Amino acid sequence: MIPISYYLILSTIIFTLSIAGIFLNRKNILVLLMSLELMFLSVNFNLITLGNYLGDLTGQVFVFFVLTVVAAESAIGLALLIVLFRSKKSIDVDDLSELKG
Amino acid sequence: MVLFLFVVMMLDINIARKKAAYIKYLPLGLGVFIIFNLLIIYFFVNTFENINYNAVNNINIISESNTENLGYLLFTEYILEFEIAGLILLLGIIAAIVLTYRKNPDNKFQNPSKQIEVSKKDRLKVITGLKE
Repeated sequence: MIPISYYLILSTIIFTLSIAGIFLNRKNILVLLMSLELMFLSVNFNLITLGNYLGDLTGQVFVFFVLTVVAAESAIGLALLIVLFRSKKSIDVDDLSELKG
Repeated sequence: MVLFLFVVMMLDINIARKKAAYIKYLPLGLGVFIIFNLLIIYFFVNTFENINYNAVNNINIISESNTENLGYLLFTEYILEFEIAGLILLLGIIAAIVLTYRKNPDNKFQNPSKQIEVSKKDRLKVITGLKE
């Protein structure tokens, strides 16, 4: 049996990869959204692992609800991205500087 | 998942512009990555090192199959949350369509309420007394 810490370490690596992705890629909003999605997935992985560890199915049920929220969020985010692209003709973060103080 | 498709569709347009920032933030990102990893892995290894990993407590509610148990839980204990999740998905659909929908003036379409409101008088004219 694989120890639980290995699962948790894998999920941690995925999570930190997504954080590093957000840090590294400050240009493209799409890649930022991808990193966000990866973050959600690693959290889900954690939920499943610990739920299984505690002998409780609620963790897996909760993953379903997290996934629905993530799906709705990414759909709305992509729609906002499309609206943004129509008005600005670009999806770079640097071009969104209207609110600069 | 849709996001990744989007990226495959759109990413190769302006890949050259982002190289500069990539180099600029590389040390910061790598530092964050390594430090977070070390911290959390250290914590996990220390915490869960000596614990026996017994997965099967009472996870089998109605059958041996995990999927069946999940379905059972979703439709009995968490039915309200399940329906709320459906509502959230509907909200996502509506928001995405409302945000991205553009009315094309060239499109020909029917107006259903006008179609229903039409009465016989508007369409049919009875002409009498034409013989003389």
